[in-house]
Amino acid sequence: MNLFISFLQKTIGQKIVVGLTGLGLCLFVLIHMLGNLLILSGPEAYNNYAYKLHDFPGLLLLEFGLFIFFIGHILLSILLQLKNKKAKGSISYQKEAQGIKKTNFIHKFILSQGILLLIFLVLHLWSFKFGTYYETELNGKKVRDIYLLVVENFQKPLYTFGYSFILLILFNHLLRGFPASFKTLGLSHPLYVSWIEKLAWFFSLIVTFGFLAPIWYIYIYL
Amino acid sequence: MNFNLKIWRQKSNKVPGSFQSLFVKDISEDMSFLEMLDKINEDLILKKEEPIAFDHDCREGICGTCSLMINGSAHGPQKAITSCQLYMREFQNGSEIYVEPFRAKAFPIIRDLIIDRSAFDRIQQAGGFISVNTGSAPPANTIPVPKEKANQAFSSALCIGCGACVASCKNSSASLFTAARIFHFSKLPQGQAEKTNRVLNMVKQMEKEGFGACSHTGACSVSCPKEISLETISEMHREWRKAFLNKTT
Ligand code: HEM
Ligand code: SF4
Ligand code: FES
Repeated sequence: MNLFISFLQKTIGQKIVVGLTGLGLCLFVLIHMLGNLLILSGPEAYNNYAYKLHDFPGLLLLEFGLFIFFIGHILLSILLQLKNKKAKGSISYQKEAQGIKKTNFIHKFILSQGILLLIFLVLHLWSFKFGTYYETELNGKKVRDIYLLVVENFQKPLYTFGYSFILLILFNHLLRGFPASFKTLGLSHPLYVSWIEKLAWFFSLIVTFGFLAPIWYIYIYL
Repeated sequence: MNFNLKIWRQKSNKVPGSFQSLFVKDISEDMSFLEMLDKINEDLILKKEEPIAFDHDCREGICGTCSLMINGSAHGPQKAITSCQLYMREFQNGSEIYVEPFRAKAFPIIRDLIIDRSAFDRIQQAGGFISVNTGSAPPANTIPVPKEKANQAFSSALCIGCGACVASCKNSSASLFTAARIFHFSKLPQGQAEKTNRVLNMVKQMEKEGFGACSHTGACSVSCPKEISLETISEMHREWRKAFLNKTT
């Protein structure tokens, strides 16, 4: 315990926790995305999946773990960003670097993007997890009709366009965060850093399109 | 060539600074950036005005004292050079050029474009050495060093401590500098004995000096005149993680 606390007091220690929880959250969004793809197979498949998931005995423990991961990730990353701002001082440069020394766009606005993701997270839980409880019958059992709620919401332009925008931000966050976490954890290496970056593109695109597909399907066809 | 310069002037860290506009004429394209500043200073002195204070020493890219943020780029727009190796022909005739000091909380401004980089010295002193009794030089090749290791150590040893990495980092992180100074020693057989303490102490000092954390944007490495690899930072994190867990368990 003492070891963990002193680890958490070091900047690199804090970064390592952000990186580890970040990678954990990457796994979570991947699974979440795969689950959402079931929307494309219709109401039975999706409601059944949701029902099975909620029937899983270890779910509460997993949800608690996920909650801890989110809290750890968010608190420490914001703490680090504040530290970084302080290290920078109050005066910024008059001009921004151009040409080869220009900062890649994906590295700008890290904090603002994180805060938007955080606001989204709260709204997202509020509108689905704690949203309207419709009921339906599935194999003779009464289950939550989460499919209906999803369809109802994504027929509204506000939801579909709003979610698409947030997914763009998530794409950016994953694209820079995925390789960054390997570097933070000290797992990156000159020999395979380019592969990690390729994997990051692949992963971020898959996750983003996987989330986009069902919501646009609903918006256009249902 | 003519230039429209905006140069940061600041009497000391205690008083606020501002840009001074200077229109300069008859600059040869073969002048280095610092030679242009020399010429401006001569003119200022003749006019009985305060010359621009800027750091310089070797003027051949090896000492690391020249430190200018030129149009928002540390050491100017070109890769792998220091400000003293930058020539005026790289700029468009008549263009506007902003010249600022390297900015970071841990690098207080001494005057105009001169900053205090002693935070780097303290990081170095925290572990950037090997403890040996100095005497006459030991005969060469008493300790065999594999060529590959020698190369790795050398590519870190190239760091000249200029501070461009800190200046160009949005977090003012000194990770690239610190990592380079760690692996300069920790790659060599002579550096093994103090490896664990070296990384722990140097990272600790880096934090104490108020530098930020690394977000892996890569701005440091592209601005580094010695092209220290960004991967050096990942390696430092790895060494630190191992050292921290070994030391405390
Ligand atoms: C919901 C609110 C979120 C906030 C406020 C947030 C904030 C941040 C911030 C500010 C950083 C940069 C830390 C730094 O460089 O100092 C970061 C890094 C990262 N985030 Fe997030 N994030 C959020 C959600 C997520 C999610 C959902 C994922 C994964 C799907 C994720 C994955 C990552 C990864 C992999 C990193 C890189 C860690 C590193 O630099 O080592 N984040 N996050
Ligand atoms: S790592 Fe590069 S930019 Fe940083 S101090 Fe050393 S030489 Fe300068
Ligand atoms: S004056 Fe020595 S590196 Fe530029």
